[in-house]
Amino acid sequence: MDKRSEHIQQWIDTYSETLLNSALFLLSDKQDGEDIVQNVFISAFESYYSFEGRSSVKTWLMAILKNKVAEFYRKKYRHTENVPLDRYFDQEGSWKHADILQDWNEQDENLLDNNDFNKVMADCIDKLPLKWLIPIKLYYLEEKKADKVCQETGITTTNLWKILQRGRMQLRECLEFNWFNIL
Amino acid sequence: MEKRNTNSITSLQKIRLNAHLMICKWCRAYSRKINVMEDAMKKIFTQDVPDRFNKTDLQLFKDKLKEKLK
Repeated sequence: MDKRSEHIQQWIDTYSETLLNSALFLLSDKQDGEDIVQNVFISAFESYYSFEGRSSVKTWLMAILKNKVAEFYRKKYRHTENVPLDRYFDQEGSWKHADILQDWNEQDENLLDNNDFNKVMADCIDKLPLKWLIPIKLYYLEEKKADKVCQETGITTTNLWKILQRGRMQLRECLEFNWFNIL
Repeated sequence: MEKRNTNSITSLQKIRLNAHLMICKWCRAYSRKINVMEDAMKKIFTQDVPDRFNKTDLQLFKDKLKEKLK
């Protein structure tokens, strides 16, 4: 077995679990996750000799994974839809509903350390439609580099901001219903 | 407000946003909520992803892929 094949076999053993869990986290679908991780290793095999070792193998494979996820998103959501905000704003751009004014009890300084709150937050995030959830997750995983996410996913920056805004609006409603007992 | 969280707005836009937040209690209330959600999302997205593949499926995946890439 040549060195390339030997290394790829080792990397499959060492990194499959991490990559599969990351793919599933991003795509919320086991089969899509497996297909993408398989493609990650095929890409790594094909571009093995261009890997200069400037980053760790894990970092390199994760970068390939994020690219594959962005490519998946571009193909699946090729026709970018308008992101509707009329549920929250009227035609003049004013807020429609007064519930936005009800404050959260975020005086609890330990809220973010509260596992129950984090579970509710994670469940609310998972309820977002996948066409918003993937760019939102990529946005945070790419350390909020909007230009990079837009370039990879094919979304315009305007649409990315709308997706983030619309996602947060829906998260707010979900949290207010399931945690803060406002709605 | 979304752009402000990533320092993607110009100084003029920041001034205009702050001026609006001074007079619009609706947006001010929403801005406070964004800050809480932002902190929570950063925490969730930067922690280790949970293990969701069982050992059997994982091993099957590895074996199939190693065979393919021999």
